[in-house]
Amino acid sequence: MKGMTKRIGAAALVLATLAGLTGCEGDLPQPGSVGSAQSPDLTEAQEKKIRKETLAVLSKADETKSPDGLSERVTGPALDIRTSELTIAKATGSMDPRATIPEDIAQTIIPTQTGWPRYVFSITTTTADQQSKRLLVFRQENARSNYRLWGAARLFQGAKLPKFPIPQIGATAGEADDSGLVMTPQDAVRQYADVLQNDSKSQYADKFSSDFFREDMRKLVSAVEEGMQRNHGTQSQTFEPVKGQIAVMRSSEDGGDLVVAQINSEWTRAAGEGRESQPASDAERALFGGGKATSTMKVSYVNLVALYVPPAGSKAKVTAVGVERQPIKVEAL
Amino acid sequence: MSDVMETTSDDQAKSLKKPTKRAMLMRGVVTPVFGLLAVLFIALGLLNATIWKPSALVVAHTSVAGARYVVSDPGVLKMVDTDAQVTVASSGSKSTERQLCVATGSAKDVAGWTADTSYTRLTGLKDWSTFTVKNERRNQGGKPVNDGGGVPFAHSDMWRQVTCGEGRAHLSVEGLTDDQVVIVDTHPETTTGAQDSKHSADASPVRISVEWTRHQLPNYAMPLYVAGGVFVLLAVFSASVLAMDLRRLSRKWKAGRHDQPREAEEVTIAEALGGTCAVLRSSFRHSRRSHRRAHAASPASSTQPDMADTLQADGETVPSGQSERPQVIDPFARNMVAELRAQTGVRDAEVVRDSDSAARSVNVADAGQPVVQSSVSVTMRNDGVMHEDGRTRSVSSVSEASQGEDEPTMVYSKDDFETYFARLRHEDQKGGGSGEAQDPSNATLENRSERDGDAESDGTPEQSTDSGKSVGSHDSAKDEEGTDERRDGGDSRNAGSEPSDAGDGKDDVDDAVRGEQADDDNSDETVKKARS
Repeated sequence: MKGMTKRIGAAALVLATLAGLTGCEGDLPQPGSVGSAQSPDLTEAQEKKIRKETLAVLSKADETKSPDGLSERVTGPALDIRTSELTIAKATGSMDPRATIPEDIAQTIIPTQTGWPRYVFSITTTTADQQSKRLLVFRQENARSNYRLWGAARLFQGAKLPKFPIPQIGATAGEADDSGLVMTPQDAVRQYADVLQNDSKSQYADKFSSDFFREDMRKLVSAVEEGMQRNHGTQSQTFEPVKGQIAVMRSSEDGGDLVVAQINSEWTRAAGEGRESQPASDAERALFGGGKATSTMKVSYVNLVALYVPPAGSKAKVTAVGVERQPIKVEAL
Repeated sequence: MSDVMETTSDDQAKSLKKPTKRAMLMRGVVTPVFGLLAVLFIALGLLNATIWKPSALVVAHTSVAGARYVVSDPGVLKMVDTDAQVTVASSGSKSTERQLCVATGSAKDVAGWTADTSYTRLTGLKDWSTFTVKNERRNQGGKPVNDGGGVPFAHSDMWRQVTCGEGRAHLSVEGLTDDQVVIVDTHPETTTGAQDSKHSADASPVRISVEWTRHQLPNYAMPLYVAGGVFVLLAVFSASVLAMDLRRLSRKWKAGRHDQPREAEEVTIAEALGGTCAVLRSSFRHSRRSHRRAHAASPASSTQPDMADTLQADGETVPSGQSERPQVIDPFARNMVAELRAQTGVRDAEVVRDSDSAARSVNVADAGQPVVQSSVSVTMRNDGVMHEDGRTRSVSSVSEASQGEDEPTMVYSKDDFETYFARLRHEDQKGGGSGEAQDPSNATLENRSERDGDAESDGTPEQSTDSGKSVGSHDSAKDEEGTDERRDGGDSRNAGSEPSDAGDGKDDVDDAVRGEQADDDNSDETVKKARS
């Protein structure tokens, strides 16, 4: 009997142990520790949606030739430029072809930022009429606002941009005072403004390589100068970078920065011998409206420049890779 | 001897009749126990795989009241599965009119959106059907969150997916990542920041439920199956091997060993394997030198040493099995030529007269026929023998072996080697770079036409050697035959032109013609040499 009891007891113990093996749902899972790897601010799909909505707003404004409603998706220098273009288009009857922005992009550069403001750079394809690519800069001011087009610069033909990580990985956004470059982005913009103003007489002229914009400006200024001299007039141009309007993105391969910044300029033309200084182009005329001309005319421009600042230690110079220049105000002084 | 056998068989009979105590214990007790355990475990495994299987559907929910935003912690949604269905429903009066929005975005975006606002966090699972929550209170500080009016919740660019509804909103999320979180806005119509947590609107609770369908279920059946299998093996083992009386077995085995009347017909597996190994070993050792031996024995016969006594090329029969140890006959180890010479005293290559397996070696007797020479080298190649100039080597070896019969396994004498190398060196110096060119066949054959017949045949072995160094780069049919193990020597010879060697098609024909001529010269030359 005792043996019998023992056996029953053993069997019961075995069964009880085995019963513990029959788990039901398993262990309750715990949230795993989140890796510290930064993720890109946007997915490519999100960027495309933002771009499409922005272009829809732009084309609607193009149709109505009215800047109303632009501020929903356009801000900063792009807003000034676009407003001016629309004003001119209203007077001339059609949008300047330079204002076209293609719908497709060749590349998008999405950073991995945690704070705000945030920027996204997108490079479009060439336009239908073979104009060069556009560099679009979108900016999100804070978490509660949406991305808006902050700047659109036309890249120079043949301009070489540095490489950036793919959108799935995400690029590194830069700051205006980034170190490790031949000069900080802020300094680069300031010095470039000086070079634009003084050309080869500038003390910084040798730090910048020659580019299309400077050549164009040179030709333009010399042509106007000729005209001025005939009339015994004077002309001068000043370039001034705008504080806080700068977007920086760090490239991946060599550590150089792509800098997009706003430089305002004013061109003052004084006609000599008591003449009137008139608007010099259709655009200026449209912006001037029907104002009364005096002997001095001041035209204000917004210049959006894109510069490539090489890393420190490289022999390369700072190079302008794109620009957008638009008169926004014409006034008679 | 027979007495011993009788004793042994008596022992065996006795052991067979009466099972030992050990066997009884093993087979009667241990095996059934193991068997029962095996059945039990397998049954439990089956139950775990069917009735007690963990359910794939997991639904967890919670009710939240008082906070405008509900945010899941990073990784919480992904805990159970990477695909989830999030449903937000309002309860209470006027529940169907209330706007609710749910969106998914990255943790940093959501953190930016809810900065300076109070919200409720879903931090984990309390059990399989309830979330744990935590309230985060932030000081408004009077500072408006929005800068000039923020965008409505549903229009923000930051969300990867967003959906809104009246009274109920449902979002299906796939491919959740570690940093992806869900944010619920219980009052999306309110946009000004200052009102975030102090809205006077409907403050009734909102029920949030998340549903997962698990793709990876914990498998509790497998360990039980494995355990059951182990017990089955143990049961079988205990019934068979462990039940055997090893002492008795060893005794029997030892007794059996001494009185082995070797049965001539029966061969044990061990003996057969041992013989095979010995044959293979010796064949490998003699592979380089056993051109003649290759045709003495077919590959099939070489692996059966016990039948080798019937296939002796020279007609000898070594009776196997008359000695105590198994006799391993390695046909490759025999110098049949030497033996034959000893028997018949013939020096020439009239080697083998009878034996079917030596039929190929009959070809050797027709020395002087270039075609035959090639087949000799083919045979050798089939046996895995690679020779640079097997052809010439074979002929000379036939003749040379007749001289050196002291070592039955040695074909070449040292003098042979020295002569050969000296000649090689001489030819190298004489020929210059003719053997190194990528396409030397044309050049050398052109050169050959200028030389006399002797020089031509002299140039041949060197050519073959060099081409042996750079396989495939020559398109001389002759060279290829000596070096290219891929091609059948006879074919290459007969075909003459190798299509794979581009651009030398017509040259190949010339080569073949000249090659045959050269071969004739060569064989004559070396046979002459052998005779001298």
